[in-house]
Amino acid sequence: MLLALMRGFFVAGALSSFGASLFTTLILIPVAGEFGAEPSELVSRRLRANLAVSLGVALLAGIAWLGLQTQAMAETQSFAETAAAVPSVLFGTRFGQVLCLQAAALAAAALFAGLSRDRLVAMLAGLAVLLEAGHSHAFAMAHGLSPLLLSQSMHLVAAGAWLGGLLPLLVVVAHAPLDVAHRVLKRFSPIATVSVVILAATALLQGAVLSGGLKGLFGTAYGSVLLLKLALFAALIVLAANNRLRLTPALASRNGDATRRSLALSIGIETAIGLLVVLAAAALSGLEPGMHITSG
Amino acid sequence: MRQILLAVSLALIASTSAFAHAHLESSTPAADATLQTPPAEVAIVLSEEIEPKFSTIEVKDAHGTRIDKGDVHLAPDNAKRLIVSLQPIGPGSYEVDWKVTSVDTHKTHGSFGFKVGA
Repeated sequence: MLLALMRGFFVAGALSSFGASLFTTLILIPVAGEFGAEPSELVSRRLRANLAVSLGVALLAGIAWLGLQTQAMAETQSFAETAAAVPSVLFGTRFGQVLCLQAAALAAAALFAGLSRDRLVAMLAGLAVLLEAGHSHAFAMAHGLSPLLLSQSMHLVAAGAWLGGLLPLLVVVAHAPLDVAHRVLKRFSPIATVSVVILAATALLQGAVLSGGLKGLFGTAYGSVLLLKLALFAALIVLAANNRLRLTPALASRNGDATRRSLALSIGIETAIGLLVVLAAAALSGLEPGMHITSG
Repeated sequence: MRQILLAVSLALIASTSAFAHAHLESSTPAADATLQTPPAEVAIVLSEEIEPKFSTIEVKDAHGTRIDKGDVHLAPDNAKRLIVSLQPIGPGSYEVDWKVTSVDTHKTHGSFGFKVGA
């Protein structure tokens, strides 16, 4: 379970890094330009801190994931044995080679983040997110670009664009002027909507290929975690819909300040649930899917 | 909005994570086969690509003595096919125990037997 947890934090860090830099590139800077001003120093400082923490979490969790995965694959019994086996895993297995590329992309993103090259950071963090599909069942089943692998890649990118953008969105809603916050929310909304549609469509394709059906869903540990993920995702949708349809329009009204607090709380809860969804997905990685259990 | 929520729910009910385990699809010799000619190697084909460094195939005779050469390797043209060479063997019953790690890091294992006829 610790291995799945570290994997989950690595993925969460990568998704957050991508979403944060994409948010700055596609939303914050253009909106600031519309108002003829730079983002405030407070907002900029908090967004840079969010990106730095996200990249740091990804890199540190990635190191922990490598160690734990090495222990599992090489069946080592001590820290010394595990350390000795790391090069073999890192350079001699598909897992290690993909992780190397992801680490290189994230390290390069961290370098360019220090130089405020947001677009480049978004591309590099996005590459790290895309490469996560190289750890998947889809990649193991069919070497090369299969529809399933493409679906998995799109699923990851959509998750990053939406869930990874929530923390920066929270910063803006909490600290930017109301009219700027309102404009940012309206600009984020289509990104979130498209991401949700992609997430649903790609999950349908993967489910059609890999699912064990209702038999796999109930009565297996895998099914239980999947049901939990479903419940969390449903909660995300409800919160997002409430933010989009009720709170965002109210932000521009006379009760804007009160609405700001409600919206910030809602986005904060959305962010926490989003993290739980990512961790649940990582937990699934350690369990045998229903399709294999029900097929005997 | 309601249709979108329903589609999302159905998608998530049907979907699984893209992480799973390799399963045995075929072997040479086939499980429980009786051969007239002793094989020079044992090969297994899995449902996923394999990491050969962290996979093993052990072949033992009826006395539990290993008769494979320990040279587990992938087929040059198929990363899902794992092979181990055998020492010269004669008539008798043999047991194959395999443990594989697939490229998505998951481990599976299994066993089967075969016979070489007199």
